[in-house]
Amino acid sequence: MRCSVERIGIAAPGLESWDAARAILRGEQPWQDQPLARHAPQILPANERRRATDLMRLAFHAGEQVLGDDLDASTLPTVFSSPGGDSKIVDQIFKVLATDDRRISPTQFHNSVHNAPAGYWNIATGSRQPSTTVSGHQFCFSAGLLEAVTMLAADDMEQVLLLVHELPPAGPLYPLEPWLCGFSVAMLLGQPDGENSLASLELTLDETDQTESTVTHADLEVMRTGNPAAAGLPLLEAIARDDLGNPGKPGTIVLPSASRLPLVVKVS
Amino acid sequence: MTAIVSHTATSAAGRGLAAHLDALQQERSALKPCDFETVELDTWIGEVAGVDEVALPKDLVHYDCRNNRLAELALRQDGFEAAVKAAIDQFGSDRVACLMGTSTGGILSTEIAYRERDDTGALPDWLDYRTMHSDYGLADYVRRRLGIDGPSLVISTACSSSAKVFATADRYLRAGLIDAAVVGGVDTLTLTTLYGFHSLQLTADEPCRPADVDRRGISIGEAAGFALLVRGGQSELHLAGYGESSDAHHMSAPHPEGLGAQLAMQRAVDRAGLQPQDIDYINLHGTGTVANDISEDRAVVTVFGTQTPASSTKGLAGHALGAAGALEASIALLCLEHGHLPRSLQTRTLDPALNGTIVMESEARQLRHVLSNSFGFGGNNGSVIFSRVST
Repeated sequence: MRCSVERIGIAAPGLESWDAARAILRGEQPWQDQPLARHAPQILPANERRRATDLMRLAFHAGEQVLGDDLDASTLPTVFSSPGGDSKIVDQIFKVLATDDRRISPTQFHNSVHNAPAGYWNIATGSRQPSTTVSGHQFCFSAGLLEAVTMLAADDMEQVLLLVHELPPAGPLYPLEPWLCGFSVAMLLGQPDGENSLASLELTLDETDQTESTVTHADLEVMRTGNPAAAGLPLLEAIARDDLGNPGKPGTIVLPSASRLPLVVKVS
Repeated sequence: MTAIVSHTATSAAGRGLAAHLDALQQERSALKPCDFETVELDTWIGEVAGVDEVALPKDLVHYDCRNNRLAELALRQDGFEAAVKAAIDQFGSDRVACLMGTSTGGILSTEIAYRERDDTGALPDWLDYRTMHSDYGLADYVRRRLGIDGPSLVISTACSSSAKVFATADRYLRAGLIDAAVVGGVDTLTLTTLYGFHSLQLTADEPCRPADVDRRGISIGEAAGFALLVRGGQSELHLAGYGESSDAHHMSAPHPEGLGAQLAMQRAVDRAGLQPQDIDYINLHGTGTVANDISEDRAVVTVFGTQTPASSTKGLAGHALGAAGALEASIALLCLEHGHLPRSLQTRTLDPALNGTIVMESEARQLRHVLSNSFGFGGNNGSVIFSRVST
């Protein structure tokens, strides 16, 4: 299956936009371990913006970069993908449930569904297009990518917006899922051979002699294995460095996948 | 169209298809006052008997949680395991997908673990987040249990989750990624959902009464449903089409005119290559809340007019949340297979504000095309059409 990557948004420590990340991934700029700023989602109205959860802020941070000020989000189908739900909210809910007074806040409850970020996104953008939320645990990046590209290929969508994100959990859940940092990436995918594309991708589930791809930059390699949402960093690196190395020879990225065969992505 | 060569469901109504057909034909509700775990709420639930006694295979015991036990119980019914094995033998394990829907995963385990935190606030050692709590743990369990090596994932879009997996499976099949797919959904009773829906004032203090003028909310149920979709498979039963949409309206209330629901149903009809009048029966999302039933009715009338027979079967075993899509897919398939048009269960006095045709008396009727609706929080909508084609 083939697609174009039209735009990329990214929000992670030291990687606060695609332009900045691209330069770092190309080795043209150093990476600095700067904590991620708390994002105020621009697409949400003011009162919702104040109440947005940390996970939503992280997801929208990358998603809004892709929208820029010229993309009509109301026509965009979306695929949201994360390892699981919002661990900060569920931690709060479980603490309440462990007491004698089990009155959960209704807003907390409907914000705890895994598709809450997607729900708020669709409400804010007015999009009535199909929207899915994938829970893929450590495979959330490849599962989300596969889902998005399949929607393009099989359902003839013009574009699909993929958003993959995760925050380290709070409190007692942290030792169980000790992610190093927050990470959020958004990719606007379009039909293959699109005019305005950063890269063309060809995806298969395939036997390969190549091992799982790593990131050249040592600190970003730590990030890759430190948060499941960052598992796509080698793909982002291949897209960023597409014109370096051997021109015309596609880079091949091998991503761990929720299947026996890895997800092999040829980038050109 | 994609052949559905096997399916099964386990809920409060019983284990397997025969139990569900009997419950439908006898119009027997399995709902009971809530006595689950330590829950103290004035509400009715659909609880599956005997889940605690289910033992997972030894090599998968680290996946042990209520959700995976219910999955295990359901997988043992109706020859489903054998059908999956035959598909794996035919196509190879890499060419079979495992696509699950759940909204709860095994979070009951985490809820209990929080009660067992030690003095430092640490959770007990026995809690494995990845295999128990995590939504993906369901697909991970099912694929290992069945020997599936193809693509797997979990869709977690609240109450539309296990309707949407049918759409994903159909796409993967048409894209040539796979030749067969195990799709399904499993949700189990949890404190979060029971207290959560209660906090939103969406649960009824009596058995749910979809479409009733005095309806007061949902009855939460737990269930597991599975279906095996096979390229070129031999079956009278098929997945004919699907439609997905978003309301873009509110997180926990449906669009008043059911705009998103309209889109999902229309897209399903279009994708199936049908006309609205070809649909012989609509299995409604029909949760029994004031808001859902009226908005769904408006959407149905907009797309289908007022004459298409429709009913909710959530009075049978409750609203199975993330598993509702899969449970009601099985119910729709049973209705197709056995020529049964089910009445709206637990409805006593039909709400005069509803303009659609709500079935109030079950009858034997040959059905060709059945549409099933599943709508979730976040305004996430899935509609699936199943068809019976004589072979």
